[in-house]
Amino acid sequence: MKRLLRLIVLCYGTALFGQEYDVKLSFGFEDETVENILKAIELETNVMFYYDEKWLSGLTYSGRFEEEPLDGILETVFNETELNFFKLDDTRIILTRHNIIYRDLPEGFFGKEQTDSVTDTPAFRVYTNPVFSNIEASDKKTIARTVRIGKENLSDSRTSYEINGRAILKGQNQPIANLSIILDGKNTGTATNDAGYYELQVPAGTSILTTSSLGIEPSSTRIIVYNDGELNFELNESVEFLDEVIVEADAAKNVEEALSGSNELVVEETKNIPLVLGERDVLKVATTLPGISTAGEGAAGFNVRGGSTDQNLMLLDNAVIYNPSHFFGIFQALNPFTTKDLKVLKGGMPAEYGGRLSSVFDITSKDANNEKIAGEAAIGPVTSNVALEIPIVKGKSGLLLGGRGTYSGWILRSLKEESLQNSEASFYDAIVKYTHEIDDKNTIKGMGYYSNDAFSITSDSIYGYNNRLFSLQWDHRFNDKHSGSMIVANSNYRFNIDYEGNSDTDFELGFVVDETEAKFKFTYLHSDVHKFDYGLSAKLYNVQPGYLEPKGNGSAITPKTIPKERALEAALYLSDNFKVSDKLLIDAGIRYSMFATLGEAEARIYEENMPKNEETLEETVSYGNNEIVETYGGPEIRLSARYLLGDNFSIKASYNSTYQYIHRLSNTTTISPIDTWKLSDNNIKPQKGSQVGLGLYKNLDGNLYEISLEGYYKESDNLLDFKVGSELLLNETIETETLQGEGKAYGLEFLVRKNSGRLNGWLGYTYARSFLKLDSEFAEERVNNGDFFPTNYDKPHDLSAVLNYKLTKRFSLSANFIYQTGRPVTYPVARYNYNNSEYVVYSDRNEFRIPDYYRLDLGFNIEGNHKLKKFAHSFWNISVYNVLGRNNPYSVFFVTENGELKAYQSSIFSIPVPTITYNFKF
Amino acid sequence: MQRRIGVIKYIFYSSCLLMAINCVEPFEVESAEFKSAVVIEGTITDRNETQRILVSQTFPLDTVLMSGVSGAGVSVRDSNGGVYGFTEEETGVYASNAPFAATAGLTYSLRVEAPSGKTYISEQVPVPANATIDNLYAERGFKDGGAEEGMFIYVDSYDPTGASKYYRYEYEETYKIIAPFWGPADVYVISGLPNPEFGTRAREKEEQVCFNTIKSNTIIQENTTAFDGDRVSKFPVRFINRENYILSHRYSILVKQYVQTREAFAYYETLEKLSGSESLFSQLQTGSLEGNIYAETEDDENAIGFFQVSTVSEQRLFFDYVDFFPGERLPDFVSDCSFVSPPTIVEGGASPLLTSIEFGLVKFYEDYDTANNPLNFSEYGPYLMVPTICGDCTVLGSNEVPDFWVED
Repeated sequence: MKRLLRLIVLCYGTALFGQEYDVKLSFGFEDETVENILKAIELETNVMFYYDEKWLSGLTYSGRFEEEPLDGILETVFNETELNFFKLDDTRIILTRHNIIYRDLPEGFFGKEQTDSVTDTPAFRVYTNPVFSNIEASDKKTIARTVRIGKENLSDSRTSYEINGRAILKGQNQPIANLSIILDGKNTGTATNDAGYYELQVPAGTSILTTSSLGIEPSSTRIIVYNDGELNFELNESVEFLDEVIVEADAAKNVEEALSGSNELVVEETKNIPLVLGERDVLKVATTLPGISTAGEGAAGFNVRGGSTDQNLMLLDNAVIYNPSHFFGIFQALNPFTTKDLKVLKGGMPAEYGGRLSSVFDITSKDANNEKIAGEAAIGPVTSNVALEIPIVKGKSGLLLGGRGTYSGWILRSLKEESLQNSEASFYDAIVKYTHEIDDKNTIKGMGYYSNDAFSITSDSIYGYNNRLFSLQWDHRFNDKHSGSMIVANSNYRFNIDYEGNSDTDFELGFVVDETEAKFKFTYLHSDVHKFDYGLSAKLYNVQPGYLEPKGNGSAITPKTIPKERALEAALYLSDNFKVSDKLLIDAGIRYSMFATLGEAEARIYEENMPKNEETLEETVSYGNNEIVETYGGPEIRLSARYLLGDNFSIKASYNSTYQYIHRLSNTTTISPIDTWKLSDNNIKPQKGSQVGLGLYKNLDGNLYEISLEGYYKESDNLLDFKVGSELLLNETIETETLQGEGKAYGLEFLVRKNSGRLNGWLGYTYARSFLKLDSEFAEERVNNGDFFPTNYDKPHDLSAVLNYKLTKRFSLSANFIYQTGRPVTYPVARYNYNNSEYVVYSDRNEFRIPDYYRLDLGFNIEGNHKLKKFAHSFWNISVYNVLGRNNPYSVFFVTENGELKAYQSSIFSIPVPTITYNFKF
Repeated sequence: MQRRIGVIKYIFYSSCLLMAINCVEPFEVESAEFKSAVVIEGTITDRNETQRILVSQTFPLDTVLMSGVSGAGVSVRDSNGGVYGFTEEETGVYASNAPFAATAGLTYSLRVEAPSGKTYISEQVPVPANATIDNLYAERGFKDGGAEEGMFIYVDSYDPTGASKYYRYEYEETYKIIAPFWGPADVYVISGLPNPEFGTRAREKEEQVCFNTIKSNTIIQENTTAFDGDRVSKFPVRFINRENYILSHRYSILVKQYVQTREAFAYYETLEKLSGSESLFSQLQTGSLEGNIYAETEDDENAIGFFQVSTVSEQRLFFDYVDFFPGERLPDFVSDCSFVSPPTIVEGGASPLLTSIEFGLVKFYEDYDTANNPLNFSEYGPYLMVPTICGDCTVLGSNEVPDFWVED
């Protein structure tokens, strides 16, 4: 469709000036062509029409309007034509022929049952998504075929006959359900059933049957009916006209759903956001949303609403991913081309999820295109990404393959710096996902994922870590009301260090956590009022907390293996999505989780009410294989409610409580890849948390703007922390180094988001605090005198703006701006001489803060041209990270070198980092 | 073990260079707040000797102080009721009134009365097991897979009882310094301005060969709990880069091996961790380090430091540069040694030679051939001089031969 910009002045006309749509207009037309009429309107108002010139050829109109609204004029002018109009916004009107464009998707768009009869419509309607798309119906008057039905029988005096038949997709033998079959001019018709069959009474003689359905090319058939008979339809899909169906059915979801504190990011939509080194990183984008932050630039792990980094349930296609980052968190370990979207649940948590206190990061991979081969690739300065979608059984199943790799190893090796010549750093990740739609009731999805990091900076040691995931999901629809999924997932995370030095202490050290989960979840649409979700899950953990093995001949290292830990975590849940009234929606859920530490194990029992150490160890109790050592568990409440205050305006409240049975052991202020995970046992209690939230949600201008304001208060218990300088690796008695304390966090989050238009993006501001208290009657188990102190990630003010401005269809500008309060640090307050050297005395924990953080990034994006038939679609991204060159301190630290104290400040990207990335898609 | 495992500390170099970005830079510390506290350092050994306890105090971050505390009352008690008194030897250093040795089986505790009136008492500390150094030896080798070449000083030790386990090392290294441009004579001033006159005469003191002794200032520890048997084997106590001039002639090192308690080992290990290099991406959680010396009054701040009792074993080693680097060039001298020949007097009446002698900047090497000016000085005097450091070894060390010094 072509945009017409020519301006021709004709006729006479006066317009009352104004940009409002409901402006009153006066015109007089005398046998004027409709095209010129539209131009006249365009000239007098700000309105622009979009249409195909062909439709207007030969159409004229005569008439006079005095102070009429535009709608009325258009209705009158188009009255006798086949044209409809659709107001996309205040200034754009789309004309369609035959079709009406609807703002909302029809009921049953997603395959819900529809009534068999067709409403009386003079001209049929093609339902299409409200977003402008170039769907084009075939000319109604083009009659594709003429069919004679039945054998004429002179004795038959009936005036109507019954025809029946089946509608299938051309060449696929797939039934077309819900196809409207309409008898032209007679106001009757029917629709096909799920299997594609229909029956229809038709008059004897010649009639025209037209068919229509969403996604099916309309057809017209002239039938000459002599008797009862059969008429089958073989129809083409009309999706070939659509580049993409952009479904915005849940445009008002943020207002309408009961859950608060949830955010969704669609990866494709984040591609314009400038990011460092051209890595499209949906997890990093997530940190620009309120309530989600990292301890520092480039730090791995996320702190959600004042929670620690181990409290996020990171799921990639249902499998837990323990470390979704490469190179210490600088890069994400997710392929942007295979990742579809990321949903972050930080407030109300559905009963289906559990095991982590703060949030759920639900990352979903794309389902492969099962029609044709598609692919995408990007070449950046650090990594290259590629993704391929391969149909296996056309229309049914497809395979998604993705891979990423870096060439940073090469960069390190080519450096002049001698000490780094033997250094290496490399990482890669790969994903494969198979989706098979067996029929409309059964779908199977299988996913496998592997990521690997290896680096060696000193030539004598190599560090490596990797994630390995598998998941299998079988979705089954029992009937229209009842559906379920069975999920099996396995995750494995390990790291190892190989040390080969000069003397005879070469070793290999490692850690492994492995978990396998089976989960059954069901949804029961009881009625319009109740929707039940229920299910159960069981997860088996196997942790190898550490092993040390001598390497090579002559190593004096004694092999050391910390005994394996095993445990079973199980949960049952039930929730009811209860529509109390049109305004009030309640999602009430309960989850009961259980945890059992299993043998074989040696449980150490310490004197009660004494600090745990070698001296207070009372006895060690041995447990046999699968014997239960310790159990924990309890009910978890998941309650969310929404009340509609008005049009697109709601208030929501939530309360939820959770248990967490696995903990990250880290004695550093930010997480590192060699942090280990520890299961709860008889000495380490599960973490427990509860959160209340209240939020206001308002959408403006037809869901164009989303505004939300949320507040929360959280309390947690048994949060794990460590004594200063504790040794966590290869420590068999980790409980002697741990401290467990209380946490509290609260915050207020404001987000305004504009999802489409020339200028889109979001602006978020958060005020949040997060505190920890480590108290005990024993000094050695106390931090800051047992008072609450700010956590390492307590950053009260956090402002993020992510904006994208489309200059034209091909060029766009984008910008990020981030401001955060500096994070707390423990700073020295004095120095002293000891052992012929200088050392420092540290302040109370987190008594000081590093300077505030701010950063501006700019990006410029060039899309290749939009020709539909082009082989590849290209996309260039030129971005500059940290344009202001702000030297944001990451940490300050104090080192004693040759007996002298030195103070250092580290920062990660302290200068502007320009990047250019080339992406292409086919 | 920690020495190697905890190291992700080098990562920041890689990230800097990988991204061609400068990420770690030193900065001037500003004192945010000052916390004053008493610092007590003391190790009682099982050798019958004068034992010493150091008492000092903390000082603000942005200052450097001699921090010894005078006038404290120091005493050590054993579990048999024995009390050993200490008196101040020099500021902040308290020596036992009589030599004594820690006896196995007893526990000891330290009591310090600070001049402020506050009293600090240590926990009862036991005497650990005894292990002797079996072998102390030097080997030429490479560090970090070839990045550096030099001399390693290794220790072997074995405790068949398996009770020692936690070792800490200290060393004192002594090296011979030979002034590279030493001459037997020296210039002296006969008369000053306005008509300066100079003469030469034999040097009055030893300035050609000197010795310097340096004590270790790093925490060097090893524990054998991960090893097969309580055996320290080829443990590198010290590495000296071959470019270090201290290797040039003859080198000696005295290594002391302390066997300590687990608590003492843990204290030093944490102290080292808190002061060690950092990883850019994962900064160690810092905080206050608790020792074993507490204020007697509960509300007072505890003292910083650790009181420990150790068994000690020591060995000394000598080697010459040529033993390991025969026929190879010596390490560069610590300073550049360029000849100068300051004129006796210049226009305007000043005497560069007189000034530089008076300020001790130069030493006489030999007479200068003023007729030919072989070194093409634009201005010159009668003597060829070198910077003092090149002609007088006492700048770098002491000219007294240490008692223990043995030549080949």
